[in-house]
Amino acid sequence: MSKALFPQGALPLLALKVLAQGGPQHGYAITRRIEELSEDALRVEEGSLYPALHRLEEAGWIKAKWTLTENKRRARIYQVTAAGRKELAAEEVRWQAATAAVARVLKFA
Amino acid sequence: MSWFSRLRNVFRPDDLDRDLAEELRFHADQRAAELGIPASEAAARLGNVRRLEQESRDVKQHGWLASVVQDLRLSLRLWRKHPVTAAASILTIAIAGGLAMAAFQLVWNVLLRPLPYGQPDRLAQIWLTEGTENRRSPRNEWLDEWRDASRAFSHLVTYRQWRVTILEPHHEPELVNTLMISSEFFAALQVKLRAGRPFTRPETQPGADAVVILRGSAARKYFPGRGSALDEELDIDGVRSRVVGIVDDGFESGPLVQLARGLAVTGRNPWLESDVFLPISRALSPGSKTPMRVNFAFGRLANGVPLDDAARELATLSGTKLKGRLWLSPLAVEFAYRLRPALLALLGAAGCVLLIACANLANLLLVQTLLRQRELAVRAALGAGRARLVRQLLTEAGLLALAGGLGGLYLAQVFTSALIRLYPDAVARVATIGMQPAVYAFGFGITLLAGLAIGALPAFCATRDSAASLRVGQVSLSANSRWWAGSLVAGQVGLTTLLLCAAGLLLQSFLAMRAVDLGLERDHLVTTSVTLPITRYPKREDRAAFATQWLERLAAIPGVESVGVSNSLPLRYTTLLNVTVRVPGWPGEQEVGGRAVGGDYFRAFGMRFAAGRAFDPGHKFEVVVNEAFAAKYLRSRDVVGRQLPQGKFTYTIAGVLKDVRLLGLREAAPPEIYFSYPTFPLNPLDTVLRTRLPLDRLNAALRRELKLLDSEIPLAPLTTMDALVDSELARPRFQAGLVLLFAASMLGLAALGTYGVIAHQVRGRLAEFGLRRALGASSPALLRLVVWDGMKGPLVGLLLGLALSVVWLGRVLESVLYGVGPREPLVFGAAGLLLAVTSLLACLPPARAAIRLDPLAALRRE
Repeated sequence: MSKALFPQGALPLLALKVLAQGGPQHGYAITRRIEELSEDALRVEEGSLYPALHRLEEAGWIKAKWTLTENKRRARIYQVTAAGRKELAAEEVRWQAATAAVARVLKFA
Repeated sequence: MSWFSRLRNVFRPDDLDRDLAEELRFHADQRAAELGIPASEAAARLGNVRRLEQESRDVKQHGWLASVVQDLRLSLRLWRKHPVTAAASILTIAIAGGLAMAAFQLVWNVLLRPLPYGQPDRLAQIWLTEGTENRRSPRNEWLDEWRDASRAFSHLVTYRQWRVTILEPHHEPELVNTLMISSEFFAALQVKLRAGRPFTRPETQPGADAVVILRGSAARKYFPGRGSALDEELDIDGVRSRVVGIVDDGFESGPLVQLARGLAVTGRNPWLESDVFLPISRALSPGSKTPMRVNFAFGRLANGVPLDDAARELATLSGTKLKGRLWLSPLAVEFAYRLRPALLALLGAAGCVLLIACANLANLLLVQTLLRQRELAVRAALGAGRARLVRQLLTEAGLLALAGGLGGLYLAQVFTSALIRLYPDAVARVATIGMQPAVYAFGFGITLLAGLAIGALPAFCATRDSAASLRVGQVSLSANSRWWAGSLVAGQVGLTTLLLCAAGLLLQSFLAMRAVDLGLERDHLVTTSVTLPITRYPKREDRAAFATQWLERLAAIPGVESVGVSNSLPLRYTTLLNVTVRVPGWPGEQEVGGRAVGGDYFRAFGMRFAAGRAFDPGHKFEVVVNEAFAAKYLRSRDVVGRQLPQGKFTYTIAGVLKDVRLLGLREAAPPEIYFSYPTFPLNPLDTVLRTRLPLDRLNAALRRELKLLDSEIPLAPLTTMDALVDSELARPRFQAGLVLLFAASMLGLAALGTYGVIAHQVRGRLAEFGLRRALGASSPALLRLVVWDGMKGPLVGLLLGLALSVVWLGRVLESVLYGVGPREPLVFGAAGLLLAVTSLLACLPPARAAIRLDPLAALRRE
């Protein structure tokens, strides 16, 4: 996954993970899920999720369509694609390797 | 997202924005509902919505195309803010590009476009090199032998141009230029006749029945209202000739005519297409043999045979008769071989101008870009990558180039038609000139290259270190590139000096030629010519009698002041009589040019006598000599009354004529003897009239009189003496005009280049100037500093150019100059002054900017 697609660091990775685990959902649900799982530790500018999602969509890793919610509101629902799942696996490995390396440096430097 | 929907997004940004806005609104509403906070607070938590929109749009749109549209918008805005730079650049590219396109258009049409015949690359001209003469035609009888024996050629053809008189009951007799051709002419060219058939081989042999092939338009003209002209008869040179074939109106005989004319003296005579084709045997006058070498020969090579092999075969077939070297050359090369060097030189010169224009514009744009360094730095700091900035700058340059290219396309047409109109000779294939796809492609190509060329330098230099330039606020060029810029200026100023000097010399020479005293009064002088058919006027007495009556009738026309005849019109390079006379005191016989003149010849021309008088027309043995003759043979003493024995006759000199330039404006008169016309009643009967009658009325009157004398003789078109002199001036006018055009373009470019470089230097030294100012330097001192610095390059170039002009120019131009020395100090001085002043003017705007500088502001920038 190229750096240009992740200007806000881990956000796209997290969004991709949430979508892969939780199934199709809209942007707000993704935001809530990330807040929940990170126990509000990862607090990002809420709006920046959307350009990140659009970037993933552009790359073909997720797809989106407009649907109606239970209370008849239009919402954009995102869903991970097969290519997205493959990319997620690769990126998770890379991320863990990177964080482990950072951790080692922090420990011994 | 599909490619198409991305492309659609470029033009529909609204939908995208609406999508995102709805998504964000949904998010904020959900948030507000969940936390129970006001909608405004929830919206605020989203962050900077505008930036999100931009970011999302960047992702979704077809990035490349969208940013191109944006680049174009920005570029348009930029050039609207800097109209002077934009206009100067567009104009420069338009002129330089237009010149290049015009040159290419000519090269394409005359040299590159395939000839309009089948498989034109298989057609080859046959030449013989003998002694010092490179292009002679092989003898006719050889050709007959080759035609039967050759295997390398599928067809062999001879042809020549010839002028005949066509007499048709409903038309006046007219002189028509024809091509006389051998039987395989059309087959060799792979041109199908529209009707009828080509000549058979027997028909092209002497003594055969007279036949003719007409162009469709000529057939309609001579036989109007008849379905087909086939088998009709036409009176050509007094022989009834049967029409056996009709050629399409579109058939181009121009290249072949040009080939035949290219070896003779050319002129502005627009005749390049033949409408009438006659068998080659018609070129014989009755009873005489075929002229040896006035025909041209070409052939169609059999498939797969290379030129050299075919030439070797012909040489073998000729055997020992062949004294020189036989060689073949593609017809496409041959027909324009005289024009080729000139056209290629024109294209090369135009290319140089375009290159220099691009170099100057690149420099100018660099200055402009450096002035915007801060803007670029800010944009870089806001996240625009270098690639993005480079593309932006290239788009800006490209936009200028495109606008200039469009202007150039238009100017190319203007230049092309001006070149053709001014060119002293008629050129085949320019009649069908047009904007072919190749010319468009060339124009587009050079426009694209020009855009790249002028955009690349600023794009590269200005984006090299944008972060640093945000701090420093300016980038100055290294010493190395400054040296290059200086050399560029010096080089083009030098070239411009050379061109200006050449243009000055040519102009001076043109003016000198225009002012030449021909020795006659050229106003109200009209010339024409009558050719007596040898079949009906075989004896000299007949011709002399015709001349007497002709002169009488013309002199009687009201409004004709005087009229004379001779065997050669002035300024037509007609050959004189070669007379051999004995001159007392000189050994042997002397060969002298002679003219036979009758009627009021001397008075009509306004020629003046240095001594003596005109001869008595009735006195056969009186002659007049010119001053050149008197000076050369008789040391100008006691000329009148001298005797000149010739064979059993003896001529008496009745008068000495002041020298007259009848051969050409530049040719001093050679020794000449004037005889009375009845002594040498020659054909054609060239006629000169002094009259104030309008040409059309004179023409009608002359035709009427001629018809009464002999209704079957055509009258050549009337030409005024002014027109003759003017056609003499056509070549020097063209040369001077063309060089002047290039010199003027280069002068403009040199000014632009000097300005660009100096503005650049001043820009790089603003801090220094501020410091000098702060330390008390006066305005004149600063002015001197800038101007001196700026003038270094131009001065070096100027001196180099002048030196080169003095040493080299005279030698190159010597043959075309008249009445002006090759090192005319006035011309060189004027050229030098013009350039110096122009360069100085180009220095002034940057110098003024340096003077007006606020020292504090300049220092603060550092």
